[in-house]
Amino acid sequence: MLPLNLPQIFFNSIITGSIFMLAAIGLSLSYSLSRFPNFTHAEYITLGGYVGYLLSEQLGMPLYVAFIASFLGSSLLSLASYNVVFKPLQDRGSPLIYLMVASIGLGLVVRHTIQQIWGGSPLTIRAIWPRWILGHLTITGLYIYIITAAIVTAIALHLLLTRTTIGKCIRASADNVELALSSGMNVSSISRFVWLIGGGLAGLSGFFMVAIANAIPLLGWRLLIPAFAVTILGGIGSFYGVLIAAYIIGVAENFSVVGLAALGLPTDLKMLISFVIIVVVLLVKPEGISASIRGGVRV
Amino acid sequence: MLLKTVDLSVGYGDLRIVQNVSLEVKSGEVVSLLGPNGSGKSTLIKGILGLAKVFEGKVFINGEDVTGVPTYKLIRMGVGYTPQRLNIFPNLTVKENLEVSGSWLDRSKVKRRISELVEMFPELKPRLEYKAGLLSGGERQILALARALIAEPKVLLLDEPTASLSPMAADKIFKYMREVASNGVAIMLAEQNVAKALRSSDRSYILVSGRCVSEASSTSYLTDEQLRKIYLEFISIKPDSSL
Repeated sequence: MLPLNLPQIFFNSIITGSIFMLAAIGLSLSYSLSRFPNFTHAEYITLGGYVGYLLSEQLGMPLYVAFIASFLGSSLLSLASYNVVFKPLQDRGSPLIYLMVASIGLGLVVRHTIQQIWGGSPLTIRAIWPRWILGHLTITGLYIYIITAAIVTAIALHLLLTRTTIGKCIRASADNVELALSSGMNVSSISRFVWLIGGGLAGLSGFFMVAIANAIPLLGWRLLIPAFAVTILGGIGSFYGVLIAAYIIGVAENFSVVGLAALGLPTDLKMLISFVIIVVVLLVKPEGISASIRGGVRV
Repeated sequence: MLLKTVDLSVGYGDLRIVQNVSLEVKSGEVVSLLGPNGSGKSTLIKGILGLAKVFEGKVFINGEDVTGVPTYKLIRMGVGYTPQRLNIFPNLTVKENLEVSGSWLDRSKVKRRISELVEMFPELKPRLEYKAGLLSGGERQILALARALIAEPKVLLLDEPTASLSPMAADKIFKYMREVASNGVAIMLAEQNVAKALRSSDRSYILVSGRCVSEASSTSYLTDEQLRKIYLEFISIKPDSSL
């Protein structure tokens, strides 16, 4: 058995956690305001990955352009899905199950459209990233990119939610939509803003996944399960909860790979970790870790 | 007339809870809506605000037909509202509660209004940075009232503002309400505490099963033996017990 390279496992966990965080924030934010789990979120992730591939690989544009386009492409899809499908359904008073089924249906349409355009085979971004070796730790430029994006996102969202009027209105609307309306807040506009940001961040997570591995039509679904696990473990609607839970699940998943390899089991089973966490949290502590965070910002 | 409804029927889904209610509130006047539980007081208020479905009838604010106007626009036109329950944002601080309740106003105006409201409701001053969810019941109602007043509304709709408060805290809310009305604000108050509502209001409407069965000056309900007997007994309130 190979000796454990703990620094590398922890570092990889930070990378995984950062991607989970970007994927889960939008899911948590949109749930807070719209009150249904949006399965189309998976396709915002997938589209972000493919848009990144299109720009950097097919059109040969710089990676930072692909990065920005991934955000914009997914944020526009997210906004369009809210405006065209979910908002009209909510305005008609559709129950939760209608919204969930609609989100699964819309997701299928988007996913199959992507598959029609790019095919089902894995596609790779062939960028050469600088690489540094520090003892047992290997760091690439892409990893720095991912960690920086996660840190900037966390700080920017913290400032948005606590220092700006729109951020405070997002928190108020997440607390009580009817009271927000009767306090003069245009909750539809606030929701649009949230869906725009959340979809864009999902797109970034998809771009990073493609940069690390490859683009496949099921990319978003592979990230959606951990994103749900992060949202539930963090405490649905808790911003800080999501930040912490993303890294806990990142660590859990990376150590599970080591464990599975040691047991001679396929490492793809790491997906089970997220399912196990969802079930255990819902059974043991359904309010998630946010209940333990004093003074945390709930969104 | 600042607030007027004409033949307003309100409900949820296909169910009409309030039927053909016409009422009006003048500037500086406090009007109470009285009635037993389930008589439609809260639904009527929600109908005025566009939070419940209006089947027929009209709502006028300052002479303008506002039927069907989205709730947030109505609030921006000068209507303040405190719901019966869940009337603050518990995860926001007291100051943030006040800020978001005037989110469409100039920052400088919100700042000025917060200072004025803190002077008016001194209980809030030491609590500005507290999470609103940590306030006592009385403090929450005061914050709810302050939130509704941040944009200097012309019309104020109060839904059971003294529910589950101690008599002392309830008296304080009624005192503040009269102060607000003295500045020309038209106040409509839905209230179960009949005695206090009658003493604190100028006129009263009595709702029973969603219909307005009587309208008179509050003093007459307090002094006219016949009115007390017919209507206050009608709504299952002992006419002489708590008055």
